[in-house]
Formats: sequence, structure tokens, C-alpha cells
Amino acid sequence: MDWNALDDEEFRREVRSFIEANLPNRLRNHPHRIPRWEETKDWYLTLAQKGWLAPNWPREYGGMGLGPAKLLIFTAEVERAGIPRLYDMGLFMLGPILIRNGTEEQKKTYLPKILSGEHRWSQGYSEPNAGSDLASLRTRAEIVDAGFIVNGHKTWSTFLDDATHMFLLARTQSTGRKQEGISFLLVDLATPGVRRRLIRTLAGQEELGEVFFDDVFVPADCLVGELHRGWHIAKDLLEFERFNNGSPKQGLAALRLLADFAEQTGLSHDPWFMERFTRLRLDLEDQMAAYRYFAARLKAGQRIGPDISLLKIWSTETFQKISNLFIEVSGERGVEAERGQGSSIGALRAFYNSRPATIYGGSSQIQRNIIAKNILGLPQ
Amino acid sequence: MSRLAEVSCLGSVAEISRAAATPEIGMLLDTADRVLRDTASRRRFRLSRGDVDAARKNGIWAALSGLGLTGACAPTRVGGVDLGMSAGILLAEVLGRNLAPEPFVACGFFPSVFLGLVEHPVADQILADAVQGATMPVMAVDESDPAHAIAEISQRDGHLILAGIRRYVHGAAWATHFIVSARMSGEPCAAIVPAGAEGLRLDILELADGSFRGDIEFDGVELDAAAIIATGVRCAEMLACATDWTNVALSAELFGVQTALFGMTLDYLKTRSQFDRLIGSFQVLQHRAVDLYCAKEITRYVIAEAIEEMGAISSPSARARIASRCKARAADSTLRAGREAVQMHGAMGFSDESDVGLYLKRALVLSAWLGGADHHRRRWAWLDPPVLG
Repeated sequence: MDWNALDDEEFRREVRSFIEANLPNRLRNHPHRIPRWEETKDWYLTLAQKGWLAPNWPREYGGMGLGPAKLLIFTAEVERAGIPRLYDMGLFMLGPILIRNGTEEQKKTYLPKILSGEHRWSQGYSEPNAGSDLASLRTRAEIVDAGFIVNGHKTWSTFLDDATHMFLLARTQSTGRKQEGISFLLVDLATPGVRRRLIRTLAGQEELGEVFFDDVFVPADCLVGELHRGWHIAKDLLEFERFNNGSPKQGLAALRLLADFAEQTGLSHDPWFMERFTRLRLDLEDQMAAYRYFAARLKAGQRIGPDISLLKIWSTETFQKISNLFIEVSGERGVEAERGQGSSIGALRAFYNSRPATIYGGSSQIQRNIIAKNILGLPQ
Repeated sequence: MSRLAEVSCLGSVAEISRAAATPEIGMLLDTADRVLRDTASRRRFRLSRGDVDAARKNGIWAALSGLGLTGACAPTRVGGVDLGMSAGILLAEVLGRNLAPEPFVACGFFPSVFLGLVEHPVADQILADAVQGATMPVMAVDESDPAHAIAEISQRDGHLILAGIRRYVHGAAWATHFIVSARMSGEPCAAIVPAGAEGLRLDILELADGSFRGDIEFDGVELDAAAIIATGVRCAEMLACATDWTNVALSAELFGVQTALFGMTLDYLKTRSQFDRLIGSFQVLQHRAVDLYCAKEITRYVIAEAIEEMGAISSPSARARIASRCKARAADSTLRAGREAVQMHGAMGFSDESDVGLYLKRALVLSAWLGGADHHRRRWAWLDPPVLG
């Protein structure tokens, strides 16, 4: 089926009715940012069976092959339904990287197993001493006869609780610019020498983790792209990730909860509150104008440039301002610990979930550095 | 486009507005930009401060008018070029960026939009003359100050008599005619009143940026029946519509001002040296500059979208919401760019010699006209926007 041939509205209806009919109710507006694999597995497989799991992949690899316009509609419908994040690192990060940079053999080996849920991927970029300054990473991959011996320590990986594999950046050469000499490797987490530890977050979930590599052997065919050129492979995807991070979805969800709370408590008649609420609503409305602007650029087949950083800054900081206001005005009610789905007004959840938004995918400060250097041309 | 627009971080609304894609509009914008630069509009603005006649009598307005500025948005039935409101809005951006002292929005845009909607023979005649540069009708319709916003037309001995007050009339010093909103038998109406009419007293006031506005008192001004060009609910609707469009044009002029302020600030950060370093290399200033850039870009997308949506919708309240949202954002971000420009230029920014102050004061005046950010956020909320998403 060539979905791109459908009329936009027809396609939207199709996606919406499929979600309506098949999405398990417990996944709607889920309290956790990222539920465990056991909870989202059946929906993942339902999508896989329908052929809708990888809307962004070409059809020859089992994706939907959607063009930018249809992809935006698809994403909007998923967001509209309030579906939490699936185990999507393979779908949105590794998949596109393999399709672009992988060998035929790698595509044949890995892509189908992402779609079947057999391989669940996590990302190994950050290290204890390489966060914002990612290129300073020190995990080493020593080149040996049939592959690499990896030693090092990766951290802040999401989806680690139920991951089977990790794609990672490791240093294969220590001369020259620090962005050079880094390679992109695929690692089976069941390999001897791999040890993982989950990290409980501020929000109380064990959604992050760290991995220790102790003389871990990685076969040569697990190198993606050219040796020493892994940095460029990883960087390619960042701008697209920032567009996704610029989606109004999180801010909108928090604003709706706050609006409900204000309606129920009579705050919506308080001019003191409404002035602040209106400002944030307008910030969100105007963010949506920016999101539509970048979406139109994508649709027209234009490349997203470094100016996408402004959307990430604006969207994550607006999300934070909304959740800050929510916590502030909800007082005692707002600070009750969550006892189960739907038990709280949601202020605390929004407050927690908005914290990492300005940190992951390049912190707000890093985004500002990018704009200062690459767009404003300010002296370094 | 100007030198400014060639740098990627100083992009214009016109660049991303589909409405501007027509060659006619693009050519008009380029021409206006060239004339303003060739005539050193920024310097002329400085020299015309506090001098009512300076900009009025130097012939630049006539030149711009001859190039099609006054007729750009006017319908063809009055000899206009009918390029649509978008052309006027994007022209306002060009004037803002160049700090032109010519009152294009007050004298070229606002009356043209309103008279174009009215479709009345007397209105058409005035507009046709205005397109030729022979008359300068100006809107005297601000009713935001209820304590002073009274203007009544009554019958006396078979004549129509206008009495009352209209304040905040921008472009008043240039006017040959005023288009006055008033009440007649309890209904809204609009009347054309010659600036020299007997009983009309015009008080010209200087504003923060050295430009002028007028406050008018009508002390029993006698009118012909033909002077009434619109009445009733329809009149109120057309006035609201023209005012909304004008707020979008003011947003674009503000955005032009903001672009120039940001460009000057960026230049300063790249050339001013302290502590043996260019100050633009300090991260704290870089991040402040980036925050201004983000707010500026968001403003640009909002204005471009407003231009498109205003033309496509018919619901008055939806149109009002877009206009208010647009003006609130543009006034907010432009004033911020102005305040930050002063701060980042240091003592130089506080001097009269620096153009930063000229642009900041222009932003103050344009923001206040037809309501500032606070007024428009309040109005937007009051218009009860539908739930997002």
C-alpha cells in the first residue's frame, strides 16, 4: 500500500480510526514517561503486524515509507491519542542510521529483528565524563583480529531495563581532533563482560541505566560505517531529533491538565492566575507556529538547519514554565505522591517529566552555544 | 532586500511568507527598501524628530506614493494595484527596518483597508484621490479610552452636527481628511471630515520617538449627509476588521524595527573589545543574544502565519484572535530587543548619538498604538480561544 498516494485527510482518518480501535486503554495518558517493555509490547506488535511500526523507514525494509507530510500527520495522531513512548530507539535512531550507513548484511540482520521486537536497542553515547562534551568520550574499542575489544563505561541510557542491544560510540584512535577517531558499534548486551545497572530517576522510575564494558569482544561486522567516522554518523540524526523534541505534545498535555485543575478549583476566574496562564498559552500557541514552519520546510524537502535548536529551546522551556506554574498554584494537592494511574492531578508528573527535557538531546545551554556559533557567528 | 536581510540570522517575514512570493510584491518591497536606503531614512528620522514639517515636506512620501505604496492595498476600482493586505504588511516591515519617518501604516495602510471595505462612492473618491497622492485621509477611530472617546452626530435644523473627541490619531499632522467613528441615533457610523472643517480643533502632540499624533475636538462640525460613509453593525465590523489588519501591519513594522535592533546588537558584540577580548565571545552575552534571536524568530513565524490565516478566514472573532496574538508577540519581543540592545551597547546605548535609542523609542510608540502586549493578551483571552491541539 502506498500511503503517500492517499489524500491527507483520508490518511489522517485511517490512522485515527486504527488507533481508536486497537490501542489498549491502559496506554492512554500513561503516568510514566517510558513504560516497561511488558506494558507496551502488545501495542508494539500490533503496529508491527499492521506494518505501521516504522512509519519513517522505506517500504523495502518493512517501513511505511511515508514522505514528510504524511509522517507529520502520523506523528500528530500518535501524539493526539496520548500514546507513551514505545521502545523506539531501534525505530527512530538505529534504523535510519543502518538504512543510511549500514551494509546490506547489517540491514538484513538487524532491521527485521527491530520490527519483531526481538532486538530492543538502547543508546550508548554519554559517559560519566562525557555529557555535553560528548566528543571527550573515553570508552575504547581496541582493534584486534576479528573485531574489537571494548572497555569503558556508558551511562544515562534510556530503555536499558529491557534492552537486548546497544549502539555505542567508542574511541578507536586517540590522535587528531577529538571528534575524529570515534567509531559506531553494535553490541549484544548478552556478550560476556557486559554488566548493567539501572538508575532510579528523580521521577522514581528506573528508566535510565549505565553499562560497564570489561574486555567485551565485538565482531568486526558490528562496525557501522567507516572506521573512525562514527561521530558523523551520530551527528546526522541530531537535527531531526531536535525537530521531534520541538513538538508541542508535552507542553500541550501539561497545559490541558492545568486547565482542568483551574476549571475544577475556580482558579480560572482568578485574574491573577489567568494573566500567567494566558501568557503560557500564547507561548505554546506561538511555538506551534514555529513547529508548523519547520514542518513545512521538511515537507518541502528542505534540510533542517541548526536553527532547529531554537525550537527545542522554546518548546522544552515552555513545557517547564507550564509545569512550574502548575506546581506553584496546586499547593498541597500538587505535592501528593502518585498512588496509581489517575490518582493525582498530574502536577508532580508534569514537573518531573519537564526536567530532563532541557537536558537530553543537547541541553538548553548547548543549544544556545550552537546558535551563537553557527547562526549568529559570534566569536568563540 | 537590504544588507541586513542578506545575513541568515536577520531574515525577514517577506522571505518566508508565501504571500510575498509574487514578483509584483517582491519588486515593490525591493523598490521601497532601495528608496529608503538611498534617502538615508534613519538619518532623516533623526533629523525630523520634534519637527512636524520635516518629513512632511521633503518629497519622499510623494516619491514613495508614486512608486505605488499608497495604492498597493487599494482595490482596482479606485485605481489601486490591489496586491492584497499582505503587500502593505510586508511594506510596513521594510519601513520599520529602515526607520522611515513616513507614516505609511497611518496614512497608507489603515485608511486604505477601511475605505476599501466600505465601498461607498464618497469613500471611493477619497481613496482614489489618496492613491494619486492628492489627499491624505487618516483614521480617527480610537475608542479605547471611554472617558474621552465620545463623538456624536446629531440633527440640527436639517444639518448633521458632529460633536465630541477623538484622541490618539496617528498621522494627524499629515491629514487632509479624517475618517471619524461616531454614534448617530445610538448606532455606530463613520464620517469623512475635512481636516480644515470649521469647528474642528486639532491638537498635535509629540511622542517619545519625535513623531506626532493628534487629539481632535469636534465642536459642532457641520456635515453633509454624503459625509456618512458607513453605518450600523456593518460599520462596526468593518472598523474592527481594518483595525485587526492594521495591528498585523504594526506587528510587521515592529518586527522590522526588531531586526535592525538585533543586527546592531550583534555587530556591537562582534566589534567591541573589553578585557582584551571581543565581548561577543563571553558566553553570558552569547546566550542573551540567542534568547533575543529565538524570540525574534518565533515572532517572524507568527506574523507570516497571521498574514496567511487572516486572508483565509471569515470568522471575525478568529481574525481578532490572530491579530491580537500577533501584536502581543511582536510588541513583547521588539521591546525586549530594544531594552537588551541598550544594555548590551553599554553607555553608548544610553546616548542619543546611538541609533539604538531611535529604534527603541520607535518600538515604544508602535507598541502602544492600537494597544500593547498586555491589552492584546487580555483581548485574546477574552475572545475565548478554543482549546489547543
